[in-house]
Amino acid sequence: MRRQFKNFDMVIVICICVIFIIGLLFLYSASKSLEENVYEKRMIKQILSMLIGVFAGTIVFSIDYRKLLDLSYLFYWLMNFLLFFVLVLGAIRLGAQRWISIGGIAFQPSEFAKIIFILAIASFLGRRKESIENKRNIIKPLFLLGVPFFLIAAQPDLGTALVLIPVFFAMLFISGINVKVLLGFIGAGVMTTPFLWHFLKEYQRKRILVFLNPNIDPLGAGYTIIQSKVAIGSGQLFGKGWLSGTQNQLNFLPERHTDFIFSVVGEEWGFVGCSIVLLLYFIIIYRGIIIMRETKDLYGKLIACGVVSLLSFQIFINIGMTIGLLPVVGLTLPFISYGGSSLISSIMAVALLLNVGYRKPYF
Amino acid sequence: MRIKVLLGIIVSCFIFLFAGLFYVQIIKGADYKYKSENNRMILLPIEAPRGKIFDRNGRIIVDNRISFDVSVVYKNAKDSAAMINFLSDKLEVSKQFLREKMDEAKWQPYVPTLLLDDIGKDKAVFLEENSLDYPGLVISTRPRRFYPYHKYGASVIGYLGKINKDELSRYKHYGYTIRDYIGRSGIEREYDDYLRGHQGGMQVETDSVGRRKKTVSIKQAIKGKDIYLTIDIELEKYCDRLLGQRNGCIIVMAPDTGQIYALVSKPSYDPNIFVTNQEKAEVVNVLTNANGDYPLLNRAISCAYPPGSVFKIVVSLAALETMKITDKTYFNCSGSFSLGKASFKCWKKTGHGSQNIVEALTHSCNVFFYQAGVKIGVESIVHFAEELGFGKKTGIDIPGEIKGNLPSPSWKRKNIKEPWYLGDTVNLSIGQGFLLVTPIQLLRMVACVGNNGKMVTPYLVEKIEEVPVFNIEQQQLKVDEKNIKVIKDGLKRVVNDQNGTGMMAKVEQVVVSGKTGTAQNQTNVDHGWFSGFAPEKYPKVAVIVFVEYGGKGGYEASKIAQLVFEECIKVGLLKGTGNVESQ
Repeated sequence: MRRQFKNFDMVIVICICVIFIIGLLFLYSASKSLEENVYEKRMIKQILSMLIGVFAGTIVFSIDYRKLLDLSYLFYWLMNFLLFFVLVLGAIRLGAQRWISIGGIAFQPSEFAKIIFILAIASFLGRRKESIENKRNIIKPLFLLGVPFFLIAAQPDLGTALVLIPVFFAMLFISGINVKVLLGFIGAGVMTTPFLWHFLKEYQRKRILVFLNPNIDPLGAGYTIIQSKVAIGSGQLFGKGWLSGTQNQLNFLPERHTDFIFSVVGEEWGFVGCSIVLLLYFIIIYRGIIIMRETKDLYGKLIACGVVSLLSFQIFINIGMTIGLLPVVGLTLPFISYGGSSLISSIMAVALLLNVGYRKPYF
Repeated sequence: MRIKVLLGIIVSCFIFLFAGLFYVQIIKGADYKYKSENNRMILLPIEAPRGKIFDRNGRIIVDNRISFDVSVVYKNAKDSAAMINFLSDKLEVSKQFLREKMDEAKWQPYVPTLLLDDIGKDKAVFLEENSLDYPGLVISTRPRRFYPYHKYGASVIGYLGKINKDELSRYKHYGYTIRDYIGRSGIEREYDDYLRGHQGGMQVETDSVGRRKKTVSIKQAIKGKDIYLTIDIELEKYCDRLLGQRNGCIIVMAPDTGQIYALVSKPSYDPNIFVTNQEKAEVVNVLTNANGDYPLLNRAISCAYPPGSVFKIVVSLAALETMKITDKTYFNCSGSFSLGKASFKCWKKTGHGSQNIVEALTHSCNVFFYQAGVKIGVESIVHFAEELGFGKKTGIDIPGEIKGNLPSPSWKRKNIKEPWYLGDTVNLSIGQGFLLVTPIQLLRMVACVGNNGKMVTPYLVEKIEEVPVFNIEQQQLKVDEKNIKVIKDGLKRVVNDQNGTGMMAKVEQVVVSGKTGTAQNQTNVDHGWFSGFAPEKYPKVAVIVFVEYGGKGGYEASKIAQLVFEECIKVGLLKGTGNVESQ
């Protein structure tokens, strides 16, 4: 029993706790200047979501991940059905729809789709490690990627849909695919990008164009980018101090409690604070890579790879967009951004990683 | 090995972020710090005017006017208590209301927060003159919808309402904002997408006390698209006045194209009340139907009534087409018709004697049609009624149209849980019983007969900006032209014969054909119908008049229709036909 416990990665858990607490501090700071009680409601909701996340994470952790893999296709199609349902609901209600409401609790299926996607791909690639060299066999995993990708992109939730792509390629890479084949696919993907352009909603196209030139839309996305840069930049080395960011407190930052919460961190804690947060994230990622390396089982390796690349990509895109280095695509910052579905799914993803790490000696 | 490559990629991503943060916070940090302290950017919206609406002759029937709004930039308001006292005094609003608004303004201290909108020009000028004493007070203008013809045309144009929370969350992606108005009925609703402009805005740099220093960038508002209607607003106005205090509706249509020249539903309302703050009581009156007469209900398309004798046209066509009777078939009218124990009466107690279909139409004899209906059977009547567009929407391009009710034996079994009796057929033959039609359906049928069997889809929008809307749809019914001729002969005599029931509709300059109708209802006073067209051979204008509780159609409705036809001549819709001289 004690030997098993040794395999439980406490470092990851501690880092997440610290990040979550930092997140709460800044959720308070970002909501304080709004009408009374908004911050209270938000913090209670965030803590409740965390508790639900820990509960769900414990379940994910305690079931042997290979059993989860056996069920992964069932989950996968159930998830696609839910995503499709969200779309139909959206069509009926005439507008963007990302939420399903069950018994008064709304959740975003696309957030959970990311985890189930990792399981399904791991299950597929793990079983076929020899035959993946064959070009025809790559069609199937591409199909596994394509269905949820288009369902989520059509919602429209471009950010979440895009996350699936690097996760998919990282897992393909780790599965041992011929690098030439992989590069060929990435190349083909790049070539089809202009084609994908047609599927984007107008506001999504605009966001990408705005990223290329923020001056074309100084009122919408451009405004957010400019204000976010001013906030982070004005934090300088040590920041203006918690609760003292003027950009934040004077309501210059839109969406600063969700996608743009890192701007508040940057303004109030400065470069030092940002570096600490980055470091904490990096420790989690690095521990994940260690789990990946030490696991002999290919299934386990693939799951760990999926979670690691998922978290890395989200952190990279989110922080990159707040400092104006990457386009605004609407992705949350794991464990910090306000939002129940995002927090719960991030905790579940890490639980999956811990699950692999905990059981690695047996394979 | 591969894991190392992955780690390498991730590490480079983190280094990239690290470098980015270093650049923004350390290298450029001082610049941004300066910007955040001294220059703050604010966003000021520029409202886009909605598209205008024109009538067929290019008269503006829906316009935009400038309204004056009072706002406050909280940061600049030195003495908000004094400002509240001043405004409450001059604008006649409660101090409590202003205090609440002022509290709202605290949350966005650099941006103007609206206190009161549409205060009128005189007050705006006065406040502007005194604004130096009250820093932070901002008088701004924005376009607001204006309906210069007030209640005339409201049933076509519709009205606007402030966007609600649910709609806002659904349409946010399409650029709607919390201050937007959205079409609630009529053209304003159906063509909201086109009429709506796209809001612009200015990004303005202000100094630390909120004064605007320079405009960083500006996005011009894009005006909504103009819409040109088929309506003639003068005719619309005339028809509205003809109905006066009576409830009901008048529709005037081109039978060969489906263009609607006028569509009036009474009582009406003034759409201006929904876009100003001065008429709140009237809005409540209209919305809660305080007078009990449903002003928002468009009687022309959203209400269904029994068509009464106008429906005899349909029965005639069914009878002639199925060859159950010809124009040589004579039935005797003794004043009543017996079916088992029941007796069905003709409106003329003494009876019409022996007559053929043309005479029966002319006199609107019930007994003739009772016998005809029984002879041809319910299935055929229903079939031809369907062909002529009953029981389904006409497809007119404003929202709220209903289907009415075309009963059939299967319908009755399903909904009333009773079999279809022969008595039901008898009732149906004179347009009574379960049959319910909308005025627009009835007009379209009469126009179809006038148009020698060509049926059209009624429409209101001619073009959007310069782009014509091609919605002329014609559908030729598969009927014998000879039969149509027989019916048209009857309809001509309804108006032009000595004993015709619609002789009140007769016009000097042009031959009018038509049919009267009386719709019995739960009350003792019947609804009156008249529907007809002119000129008789190749009609250019089709009219329907419906008067709620207007008594027998022969009198009131026909008289109104006559005046409508004469007005059509005056406004030039019947130019070059009959004896109408080109004016």
